[in-house]
Amino acid sequence: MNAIFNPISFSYDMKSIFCTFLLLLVVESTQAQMERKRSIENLPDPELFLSTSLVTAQTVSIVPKGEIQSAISHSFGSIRSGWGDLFGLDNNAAVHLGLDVGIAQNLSLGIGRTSVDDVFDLRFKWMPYRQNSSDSRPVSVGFYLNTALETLEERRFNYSFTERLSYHSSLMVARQFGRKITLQLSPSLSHFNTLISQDNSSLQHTVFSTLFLGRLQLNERNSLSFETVPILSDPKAIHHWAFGYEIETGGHVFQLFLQSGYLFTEQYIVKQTSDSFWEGDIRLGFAIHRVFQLKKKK
Amino acid sequence: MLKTIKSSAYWYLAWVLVLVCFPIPLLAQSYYAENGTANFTSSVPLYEFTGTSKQLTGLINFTDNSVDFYLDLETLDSGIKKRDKDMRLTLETKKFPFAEYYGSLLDSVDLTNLSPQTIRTRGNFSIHGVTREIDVEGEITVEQNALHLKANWEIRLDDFDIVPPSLLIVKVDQIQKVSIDIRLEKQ
Repeated sequence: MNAIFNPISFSYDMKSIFCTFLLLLVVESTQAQMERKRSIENLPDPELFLSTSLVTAQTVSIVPKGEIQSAISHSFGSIRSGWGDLFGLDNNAAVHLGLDVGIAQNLSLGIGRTSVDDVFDLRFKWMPYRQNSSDSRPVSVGFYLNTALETLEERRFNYSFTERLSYHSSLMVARQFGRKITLQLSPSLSHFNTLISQDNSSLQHTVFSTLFLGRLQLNERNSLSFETVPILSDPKAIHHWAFGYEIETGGHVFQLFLQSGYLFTEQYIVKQTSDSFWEGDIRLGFAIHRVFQLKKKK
Repeated sequence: MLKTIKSSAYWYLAWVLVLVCFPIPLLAQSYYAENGTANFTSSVPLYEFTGTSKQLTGLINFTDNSVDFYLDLETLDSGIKKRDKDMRLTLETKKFPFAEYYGSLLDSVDLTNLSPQTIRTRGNFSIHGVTREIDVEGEITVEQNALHLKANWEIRLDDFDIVPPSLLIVKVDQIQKVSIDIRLEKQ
């Protein structure tokens, strides 16, 4: 049988299809899920370092406003001591306890104490310019100031309060390259009010140095890092080196170090490092940083 | 023949008019907001912390009795930046940015009753790329051209393949409390 084109039937078929299509459109428009839209379109600003300090040197990372950070740093004896002292683990070299508070968006204040020479330190960090994800601010720039008070009883001398003070200040400039590598340069000035000469040699109360720090991000939670402190005003001086492995988990940052200097206050690491990393004077160290909320949000 | 075509043309016109007008009353029965509050509360031994966002988007549509809520998880703020970062890593928000709930009202809402009404919903909750059907009970209060909805429920992290971070022996509890508080405006 030959198929016969029936315009009336065609008209009604098309009508049905058309109406069904439109009805489906309406039903679809009223039943479909909403389109999901991101509330945050921009990438978060880069995290240049996991913690506010590496081994000794302060980084451009700062405790955010309304948060408080506690840190404990520990260095052991030289691994040269061998099995007898379990490669320095039997020798407690230095412990530093620190507490830093974010008092404003880019401002933090901290106190600390180092067990060696009973040194208390008061520190201040200001980070007015921070690298952002859009690269309109390509570097982070900040300032750091530290005043330390040596409280150890000295039987030979009767030091005044002022004589016990020392200072350290840094201009910190850092940049993260490709979200993996961060480098920081911190031209610094350290000053000791009092120094003791053992052999009548001339003493440098004020020392210029450049703290050089770096971090290689292995993944979201693990990093490798280093720091060194070349002393510009005394190029022949032995300077501190340290290499670290950092782990971030559960709001904590754990750092494990191999380091030559054993102190945790910048001016002391600049002035009193006498061990050479590259000649094998290496010690193990670790630090734990933990951040707390100062005030719960309502 | 001509009469039939004319008749069809009128028929189409009538349908188009119906369809153009029809969605208006439908939309009039939906309520929408994008500034609701969502809280995700986790527990570790002796301690509890909450990630809060004020950017919960929601739609209740009485035409088809559907409820649709979603949240950009990167907006959660726990008060500590490091913990926020931890939360984002745990929830893999780069890969799965949204927590979503899409389902149906099981109870009808009396829009003339201004006292709080308990409503039950059933739907799919999705987070971390995993979807599970859950029942959520909430309290809805009819206000002037708006609905105020409060609801809370619990999920197990392992049901959604979420591995919480642990610190030595301290682990985040598997139970996560979710609560929402949102005022939806009439569309």
